[in-house]
Amino acid sequence: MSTPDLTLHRPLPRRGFTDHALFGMAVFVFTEVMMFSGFISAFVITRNSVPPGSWPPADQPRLPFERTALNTLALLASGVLVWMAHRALGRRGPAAARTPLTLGLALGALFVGLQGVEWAGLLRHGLTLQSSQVGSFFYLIIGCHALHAIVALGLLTWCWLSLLAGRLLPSRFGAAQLFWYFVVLVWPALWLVVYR
Amino acid sequence: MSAARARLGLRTALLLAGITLAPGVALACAVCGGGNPANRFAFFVSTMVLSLLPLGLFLGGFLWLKSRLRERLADEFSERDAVPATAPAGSAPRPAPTTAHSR
Repeated sequence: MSTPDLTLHRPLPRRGFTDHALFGMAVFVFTEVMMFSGFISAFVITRNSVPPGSWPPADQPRLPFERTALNTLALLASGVLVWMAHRALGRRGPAAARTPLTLGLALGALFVGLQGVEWAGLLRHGLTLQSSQVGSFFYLIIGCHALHAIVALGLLTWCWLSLLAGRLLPSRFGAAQLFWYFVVLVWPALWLVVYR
Repeated sequence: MSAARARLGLRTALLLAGITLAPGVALACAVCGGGNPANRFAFFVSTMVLSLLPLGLFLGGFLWLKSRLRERLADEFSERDAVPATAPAGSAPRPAPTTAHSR
């Protein structure tokens, strides 16, 4: 009696074509891109419907375009640092990714903090959600972005803590990174359209 | 009765023809139809962007998934097709293991 060939029943490993967390986040980012596109579209049409020179209205403060350049630089640098952390993690291991990820998180937090300071100043100068169309759009669009930035920072902080504990999952980090890149890359468009 | 119906049909046809052939006259939206040229241009550009952006995203996603699939499936049959190195000289290669994927 011959021995049965066990290779007949050996299963092959599953061949997923992409990571589930990354794919789910990509679909989510797709919807977010469309949402911000809708916001920008509504803003641009409304802004062009008012007579020239009356945006913002005379009794409303002008949005600080030049001062917000510092926030923009901090956010862009944060995106670059998170990308460097990703590369370092893949090439030299978790220890090499700690510093760039920590710095990236710090710059992201700096962006959110500076935005908070800017909002406090604008509120003091009378720009509120109900004061004008400028205020309505500003707090809707920029507030929505700030909310996304805070959530993305939370995800990155989770990854950072996992990295420190030595149990960072690449799929988790990939999804958090994708969301952070979305927050970073959508900001210059918002800054140039809404603040200018 | 039939004359009234014919008049109604004629009116409906005229209305539909007017809307279809002269959409500029049948502007219903104050935003897209009225306002200044800058406003109309902004509306046109926004319409184009919001129409093409999802198509571009879908296309980008499709191309990305296609490249991932090609990359992942490049060595799909390498294990099955591999001839065992320890096979005795002159003997026929063993048939490939049957798996759930190849059945």
